Amino acid sequence: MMSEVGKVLAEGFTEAEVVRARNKLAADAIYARDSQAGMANLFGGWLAIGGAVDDILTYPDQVRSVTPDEALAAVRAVFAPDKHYIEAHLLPAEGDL
Amino acid sequence: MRTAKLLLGAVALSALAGCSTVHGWIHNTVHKPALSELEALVPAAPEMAVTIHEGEFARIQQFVTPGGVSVWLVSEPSIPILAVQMAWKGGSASDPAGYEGLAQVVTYSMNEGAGDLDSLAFQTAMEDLNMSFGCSAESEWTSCSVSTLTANAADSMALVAAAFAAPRFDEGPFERFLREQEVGLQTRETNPNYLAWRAASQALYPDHPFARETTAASLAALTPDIARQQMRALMTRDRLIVTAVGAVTPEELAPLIDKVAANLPETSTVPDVTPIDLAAAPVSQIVVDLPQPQSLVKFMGPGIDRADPDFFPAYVLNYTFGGGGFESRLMKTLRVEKGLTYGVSTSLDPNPSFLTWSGSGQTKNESAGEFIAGVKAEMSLLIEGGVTEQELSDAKAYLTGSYPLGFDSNAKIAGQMMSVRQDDLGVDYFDRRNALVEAVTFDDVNRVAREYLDPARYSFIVVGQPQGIGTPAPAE
Repeated sequence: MMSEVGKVLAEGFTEAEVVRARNKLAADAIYARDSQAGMANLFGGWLAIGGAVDDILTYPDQVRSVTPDEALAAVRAVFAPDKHYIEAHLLPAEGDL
Repeated sequence: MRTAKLLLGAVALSALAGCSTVHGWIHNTVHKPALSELEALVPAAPEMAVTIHEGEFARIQQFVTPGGVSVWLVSEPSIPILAVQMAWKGGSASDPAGYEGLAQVVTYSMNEGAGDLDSLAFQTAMEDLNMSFGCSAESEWTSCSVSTLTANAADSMALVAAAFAAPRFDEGPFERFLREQEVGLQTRETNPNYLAWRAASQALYPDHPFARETTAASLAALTPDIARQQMRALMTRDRLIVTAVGAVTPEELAPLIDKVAANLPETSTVPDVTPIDLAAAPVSQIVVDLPQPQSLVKFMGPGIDRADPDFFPAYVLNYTFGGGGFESRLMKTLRVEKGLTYGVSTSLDPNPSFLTWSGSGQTKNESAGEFIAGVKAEMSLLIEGGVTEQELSDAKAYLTGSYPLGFDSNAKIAGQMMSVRQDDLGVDYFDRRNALVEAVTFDDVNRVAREYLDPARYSFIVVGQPQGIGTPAPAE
């Protein structure tokens, strides 16, 4: 897993990969609006944590403007080797195996 | 070439789609769209005659495309998506004897490759367009549905048109279908619902096409060539009906539909299905042995056609009898009072070829006899005492009050319109329906109970290792 993350950080994403991903995210957000219960949850959840209605309405356009460099920066911010993403390592107790 | 031509259409649609973002979710919270905005989107001089039905639930635009396809469209500009449903009368009941599974493999194959796109390439093309397309076959209907962003509508419909023009029926996906079906042949032998269906159909209508099932032999008889022929028989231009909901006008949608329909044969002959008359053959009780701790109990009696004046009284009565969840007589008695089951329910099926009023529930093997006796006792109670005024008004309140919930998304509205078209209920059905429920009287309901809920008219099918049913319980 770490070697795949390392590969991504070293090589970056292609333009095509990012376009595909952001089109899918934008499309999913648009299809999600075709459900009243879904919209109530979406708006309610987002407003409850301090978001604005406009954030949701402009989301498809915003996600479509993400560049490969920005996507890579996000991966680096979360998965780079200096991030302590392994919080605990659960091992079987002595004699369990 | 194809893409370049299609781009023009896509530009027009995306311009339209872009204009409603802000109002989007507000629109969807009311049942009636703002008509002035909708009308503003319709070009001034349409060459195609569009008949508009201003309904309470939907503003339905009916038209016949220049290519001859009959379409019902609700223009809904608030979300830039389009849902299209297509249906043809004729389905798996038209499979020739010995080729059971044929309509299934036809519809399975429709999104498994077309023209120079093999299965993977076709699926990738759908993904790239963020659209979906798939088909399915029921006994008497073959259906396909498409959903797409309006910005991609022209490209998406062009892909669907390719599927109708040059479906590949490649060996790979065909073999995959057969393998999946072969697994199904095994798993169905331990599926209580399947076993109950088989036992009932063999006992009640053994020679009817509805009683046929796929077998290893019928699957072995299927070939891509036969499937290709049957596809041309099932999907023709003259039997095609279309419903659509989305951010498009009739003038924008018509050419997209025509492109799809252009590749269909004009007509074909699909045999009609002879209706099953359940009243002619009641069987008091059938037991199918299946080693498991629970018994599935199904019961089935003759139903009522929608055109019959008894239909709505029966529909309202069904809520009190077994349709209304925890409010139904069967749930109150068999679950709440007696603790025999988690759930028992009933429903009316107004399919003209097979009108039924049926129900089902599961109970532990030891209480199967008590469960069946309990169902029969509730039927007898309704025959003797009828429903109460309170039950009748509760049923009407729920059935009319919940009706609008079936219209809260584009896909649901397209589906509702398709049911109305398939059952030929008329374009004003949505507006008439609640009044038909309200018009049901106390006397109607109680008369229908006496006429239809006699346990002697019902067949009881039990799957499991039921106890206490050695001699069928008397109907009181």
